[in-house]
Amino acid sequence: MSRVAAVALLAVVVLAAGARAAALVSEETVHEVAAQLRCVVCQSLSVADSPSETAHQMQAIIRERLAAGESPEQVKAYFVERYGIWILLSPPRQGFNLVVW
Amino acid sequence: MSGRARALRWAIPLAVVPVLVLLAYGFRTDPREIPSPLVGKPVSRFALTAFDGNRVALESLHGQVVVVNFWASWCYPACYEEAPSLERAWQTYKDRGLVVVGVNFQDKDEPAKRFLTQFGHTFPNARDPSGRVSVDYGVYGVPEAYFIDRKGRVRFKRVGPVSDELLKQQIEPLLAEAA
Repeated sequence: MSRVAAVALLAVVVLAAGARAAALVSEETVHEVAAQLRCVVCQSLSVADSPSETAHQMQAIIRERLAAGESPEQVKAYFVERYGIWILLSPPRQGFNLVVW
Repeated sequence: MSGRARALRWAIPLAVVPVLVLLAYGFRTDPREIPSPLVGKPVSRFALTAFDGNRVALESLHGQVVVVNFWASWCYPACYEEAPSLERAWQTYKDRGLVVVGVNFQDKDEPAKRFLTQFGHTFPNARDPSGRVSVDYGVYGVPEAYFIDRKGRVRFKRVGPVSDELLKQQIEPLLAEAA
């Protein structure tokens, strides 16, 4: 019986912690990160502006990573590691990109 | 005309030159040919449920050469063109250590299953309902194919359809490598 109670208590604690972490991520932060990332299936639209399913899924990934405790910079770095700096709507001011700036 | 005004008259057309050079360079490059930063890096592992209900887990394929192909039934004609080549490569090389894994991208169940039946694909094919695997691989359209060596590193990324020649060219050297 006490084992059942302990498991139940643990489940409540885990659920509460999960809910709290999710609640800490503001939609504003999600939007801020999404607005800086290129929607990969559209031309020249950000993840925040695109109505496509892919963009929605990318927003979900952004939300999830922020909820897991990553900073907006770390979330952007995750996308850059996979897509290259092409994913950033505003490329960093370094190297060849300086010519454009 | 003063010296200053004369200099300005030249400065304006001259300012256009670097812009033209930049545009001339930019328009010659193919915007779809973006090199994947994942080439040479260890592959992202994934576990998905295949259309036949089996589990497709990448970590269980360690030591084998893997071609991960992202496709969709709405991707016409490119995905339809490459589909027979993928099945042929799988049939040709599976006994030598090749696994082909299809990942269905932004698709509906029914047309996706019809596509698999139409081409008689016998290699594992799975859906990616949350899009997580596609983003983990840096997929931005279909078809795309990733060639993974026996050590689990991405060695080549193909944007666009694969052909028999390209598959042979990429797969054979990877099969010859030691695990």
